[in-house]
Amino acid sequence: MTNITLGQYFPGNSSIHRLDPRTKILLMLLYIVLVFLVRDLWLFLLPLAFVGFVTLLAQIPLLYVLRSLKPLQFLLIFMFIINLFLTAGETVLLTIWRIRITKEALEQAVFISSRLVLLVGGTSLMTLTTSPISLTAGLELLLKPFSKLGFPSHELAMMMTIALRFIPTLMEEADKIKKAQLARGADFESGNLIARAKSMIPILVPLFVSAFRRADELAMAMESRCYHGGEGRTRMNVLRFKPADAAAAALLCSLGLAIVLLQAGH
Amino acid sequence: MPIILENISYTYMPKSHMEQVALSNISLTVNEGEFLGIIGHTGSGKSTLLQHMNGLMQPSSGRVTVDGLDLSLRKARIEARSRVGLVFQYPEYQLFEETVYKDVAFGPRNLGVAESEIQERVEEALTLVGLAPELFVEKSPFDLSGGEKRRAALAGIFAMRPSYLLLDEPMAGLDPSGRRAVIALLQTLRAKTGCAIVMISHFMDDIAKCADRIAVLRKGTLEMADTPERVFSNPEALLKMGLDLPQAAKLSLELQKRGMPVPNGIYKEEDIKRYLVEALS
Repeated sequence: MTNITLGQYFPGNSSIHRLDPRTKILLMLLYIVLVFLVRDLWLFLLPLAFVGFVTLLAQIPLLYVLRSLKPLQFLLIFMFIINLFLTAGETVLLTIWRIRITKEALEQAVFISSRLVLLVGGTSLMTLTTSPISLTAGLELLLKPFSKLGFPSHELAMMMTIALRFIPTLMEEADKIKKAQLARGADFESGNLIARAKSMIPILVPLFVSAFRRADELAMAMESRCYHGGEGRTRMNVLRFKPADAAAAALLCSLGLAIVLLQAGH
Repeated sequence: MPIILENISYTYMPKSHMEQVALSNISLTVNEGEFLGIIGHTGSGKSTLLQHMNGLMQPSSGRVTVDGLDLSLRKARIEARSRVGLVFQYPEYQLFEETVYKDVAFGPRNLGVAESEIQERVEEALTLVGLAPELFVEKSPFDLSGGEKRRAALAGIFAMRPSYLLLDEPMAGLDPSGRRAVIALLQTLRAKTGCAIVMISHFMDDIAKCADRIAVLRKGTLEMADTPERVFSNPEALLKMGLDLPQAAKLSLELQKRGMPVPNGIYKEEDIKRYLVEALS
């Protein structure tokens, strides 16, 4: 329980790591749109090349990018099979007992799977190269215009930062309480589902009590340092767009343009 | 039969860049009925060592046996937990039940003790820690004061009637009177039940007062495991490890420096007091 790493941030100092988090968030959104624009299977080569290029620039081992696909494996297999068997088609490739696999179905299955892999693999590049703290900072600044409409952008970012900060603390605490209850003979492993859920009470109650206590103490500590929300608050690291941000945006935009033009020509 | 640790080593997160050796090649025996003090600088592996004694942690190499039970086996570990009670730091944070009674009964109930006996054990444990059963059994543990919570948590372990009691800094965060109360409590418990006690503490005076033997840990290795006389007769080594001496030992050292013929090996308050009264009269 103790060796869970938060998010999947891969520390580094590459040109991708140094990009403004706002750029990365916006470009990720653009990338998602772009992947959905693709209608022909072979055009997936463009986003694939882009992902490869960024991975290379960011100096992240390919293994880490692939690892982000791991939680997806069952969904991927499920989607592939569903599409393979349930898509209507003409050209029969293979008949197993009463089930026919058609060329169209195979194409559709490969197409959907490729889209999913590219979506998750590409977006994970953002979380791999951006620390959670700068991610929330970027999000806060991006949402700032909406605060005029009453949207609590600063408060939201602060809440996210605090939550991220306390996840490891609470994990450690849960581990400690679990050990203390194990020492008192608690059994978390046997019995049916209900018995096991019930056996979590001796962990959850102390954990909640301590989480509330910590929240109280933190609120007090913030107030004693005169925290009063986002108004008039300045930042230690001011985010500024640099030429590299423009270059990254230009690259992805031209990629999008290429996809649209190539498909229009078809 | 004792708790025997044979050449145990423990490494946190082996084969990663965060790899850290917490214990290396420690052999130590906890005899029946003895009071073993464990001292060492923060991060020297004291808590890790303690958790090996009841099977909460498994050594990376080496063997732990409790009364002959090999703790590498799951069944033996569960059996061992009924014999070895472990009190963590700030045990009051493990309270969770609606009433003090239910919370103290949690341990014995897990051990499968009969309901009639549970009541007897709970009342006995609460009386022992100085919480009158008739006043406290129906209270919520969350309504108690800090000191009372700690005592209730201790009662929860005492009610399991362990033959070995392991305590990880039971006095942390208590005021002097609270500390004295816990020490007195442990001494009463020992006199009544004869159980062995292993206690980690940073308070040298408390260790000096109670311990039959002291184990000194430094960066995951066992530096010494010896009688208090021997351990405290080497003040330079202790100071080098970032540890301290009991007040009585400090006083006798200073007096020796100033030419008073104080005998070596004095570390208890009452001994230095007796010596001074005799020497001055």
